[in-house]
Amino acid sequence: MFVEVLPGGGPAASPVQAVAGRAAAARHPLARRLVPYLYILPAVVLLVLWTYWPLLQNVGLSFQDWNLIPTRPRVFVGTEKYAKVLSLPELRQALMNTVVYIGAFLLISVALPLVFALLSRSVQGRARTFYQALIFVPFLVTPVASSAVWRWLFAPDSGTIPAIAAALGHPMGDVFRDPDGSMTSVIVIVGWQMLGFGVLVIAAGLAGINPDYAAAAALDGARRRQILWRITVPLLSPSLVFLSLMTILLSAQWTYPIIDLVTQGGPGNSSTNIYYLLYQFGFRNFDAGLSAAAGVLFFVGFGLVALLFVELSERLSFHDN
Amino acid sequence: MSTAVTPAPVAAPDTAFSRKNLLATLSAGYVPLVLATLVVVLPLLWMVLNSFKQPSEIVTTQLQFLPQAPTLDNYQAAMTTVPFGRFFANSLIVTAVGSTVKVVLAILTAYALVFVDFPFKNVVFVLILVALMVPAQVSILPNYILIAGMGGKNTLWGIILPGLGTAFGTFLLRQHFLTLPKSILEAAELDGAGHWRRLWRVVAPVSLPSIATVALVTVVSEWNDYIWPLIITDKPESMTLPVGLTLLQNTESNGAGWGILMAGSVLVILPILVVFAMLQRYIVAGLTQGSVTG
Repeated sequence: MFVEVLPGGGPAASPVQAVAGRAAAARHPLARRLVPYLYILPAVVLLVLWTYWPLLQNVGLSFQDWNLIPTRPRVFVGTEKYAKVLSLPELRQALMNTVVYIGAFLLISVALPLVFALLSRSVQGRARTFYQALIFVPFLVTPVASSAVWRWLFAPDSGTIPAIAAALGHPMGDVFRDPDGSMTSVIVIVGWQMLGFGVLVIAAGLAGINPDYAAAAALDGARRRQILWRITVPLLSPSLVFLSLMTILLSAQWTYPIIDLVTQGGPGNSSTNIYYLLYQFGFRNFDAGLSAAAGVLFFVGFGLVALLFVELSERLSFHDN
Repeated sequence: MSTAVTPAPVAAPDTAFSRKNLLATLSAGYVPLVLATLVVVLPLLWMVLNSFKQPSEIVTTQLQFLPQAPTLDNYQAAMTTVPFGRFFANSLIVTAVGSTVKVVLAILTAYALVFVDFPFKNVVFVLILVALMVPAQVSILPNYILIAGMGGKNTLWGIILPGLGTAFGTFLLRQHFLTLPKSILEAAELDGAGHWRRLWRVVAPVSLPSIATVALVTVVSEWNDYIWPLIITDKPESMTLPVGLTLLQNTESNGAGWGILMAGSVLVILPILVVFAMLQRYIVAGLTQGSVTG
């Protein structure tokens, strides 16, 4: 692809403009020094406006009692909301569930894709691309649609899975209303969606590995297992670290639209997670302070975990250059 | 293929086309891959098949795989019971504007972070890294208050704006740019090409697979976004497809409802599959290129 673009792109560029730009930059060293900031300025402004400013607002809200109605006064209540959040039994349940969800998705969207990608290396060319593309398709499905098809597949009266289970002699009820089954059902649905993302990232990582290394090792008499663990997996480590980081940071976000659509966190908070709890505090109970306090706590907690992970990954990652 | 006719020589059991090797490839490669693909694709296939079934076929005690009398009734019902055209137009605008801005900014920022030396670079990177850790859910409540205060409820700009403050694409592209050998830019630098030309003539073409991946992920998340549009809209005129689809769910209790819901789901998924099919060519081209040349 880019073999065609590179030589084709050269003559198409306007040399006059480039020369003029260079001359201008030479005449104005200040302009030259400002250029990099122009590249990052729009993104940073948007980040500050829509990520950092809300974060600050959140901190402010977490010390107030307010029911989200603009005409109602916001009352300063100190750390009362934090004390309330920490004393709620729902919080402990939501935290535990979040950890279980993360563990399950590390398995489904990092470990399983690695096995897939390594297995499908022996399948070559178009066939491999075809299967990888198909496995990726559920990632493209909006949570509303995926929850629709799975709610129907699991529907107790007319669903396909209960019908098959009954035919096999294991009748099952409504998984979404079963305290022991609701979380599993959410994991199945979200895992089904995320698997393909992991396969894609790892396949891209594998494709970027120079085959010369393996070939050289093979010439030196290395066995396949040695090549896999000493060369392929270390060179793949940036992809694996990236994917694990994404999973840890984002699995709570991937999960909560599905929770909202299939179980609403129930029954009895058995399938809730921290973000769904936060959403309920804010938009169901209209307790802005409580939601904000929980948000601040989760952000700090996740931030610590992530920093630890980034620090770790900088040491574990092995870059090929 | 030819080995099926000519038996593998016993003396060299490990050559590429020996029967043993073929069997190993089949059992270790194809069989798990095909099985996994089936498990993954079956629910979607089921959704498509049932969107063409009549209500009596959907709620039945015996499983009917193929529709006995294929019908478009479900599609007609899905498109007439809710303003589907309006949802579609809204989703299209939100996705096109939001993704274009996000992807272009991600490319620019990632380039500057990797290939340009400037003071406070680490501060900017930390700003982006930390933003990655600020979950959208934490900013949802303040964003709602802000957008609603600006009069952005039930508007398309109200749906688009808060999503623009994202660092995901920047982070992913930075990770990829780091793997590019610095030497590819040295020639361009000697030619006197400025950053703008180096980015679009050298770095971007070489990174097409990664950019296509970021574009795909961005378009998909923009098109499929559910919670924020749900919160910021309550009138059908300004709803996007995923939110509009939930309006169909209220009728699901009977067989006809499921069929209509499946038809609506197919209609929501279809455009994104078309985009995937288009971008996939670039991703595949990049992948095979990578595996051939390293």
